[in-house]
Amino acid sequence: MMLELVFYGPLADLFGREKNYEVPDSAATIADLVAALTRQFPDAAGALGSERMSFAVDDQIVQASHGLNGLKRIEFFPPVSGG
Amino acid sequence: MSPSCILSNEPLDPAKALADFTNMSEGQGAIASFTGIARQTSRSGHAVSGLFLDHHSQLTQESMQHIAETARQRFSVGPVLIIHRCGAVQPGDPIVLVAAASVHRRAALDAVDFMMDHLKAEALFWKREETETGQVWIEPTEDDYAALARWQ
Repeated sequence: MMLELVFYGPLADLFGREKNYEVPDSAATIADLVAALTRQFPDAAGALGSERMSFAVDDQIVQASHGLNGLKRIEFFPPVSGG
Repeated sequence: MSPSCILSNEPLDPAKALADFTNMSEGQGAIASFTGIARQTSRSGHAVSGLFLDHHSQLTQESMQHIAETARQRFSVGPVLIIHRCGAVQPGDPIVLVAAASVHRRAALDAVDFMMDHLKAEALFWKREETETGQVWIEPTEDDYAALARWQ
């Protein structure tokens, strides 16, 4: 399954803003997708591994346990820093 | 009155924004505000040559609106304002202005404090500092997270 991944902050430096990614068949949730990306791109392990990572689907924040079935686009939000 | 939240990639003029906010806060007895300035020195002690604020085209604005509306209701204040820069910011330039007006001072001061703690660690911004040693993405400190936890 091909997914469009959208990255922000430090992850955008590593992957670019958008990346088409062929998700392994074994990945069922966003957490599985993150694990696959981490294995394939060890340089991103630090940023992807933060417990403060969040995700969005259709402009709604979702948890890492969210299923991948039917999705086309997932946005990756590393830990935020405003102010 | 719904809060006023502005995401701006243009330079921010806190004095003018605060004057406009004061004009629209007629009848209130107190106005509190906070202006954040882009640091000129990094945490590692290097001179900062530039700052970049990444943001989301829709959810960043919504996160600011949520913080402002939560503060307005929690502290029963009148008008509330957040202006936050995005894009390229020069060191020494204002990066954020937060203001609240209320009948008495305590509510306005608390609302401003609450909004800043949440903007630091919950609003959807990603801040990158450029120094002579390279670029560094900034994350909130443990103190920032502790400040946020005070309100829970």
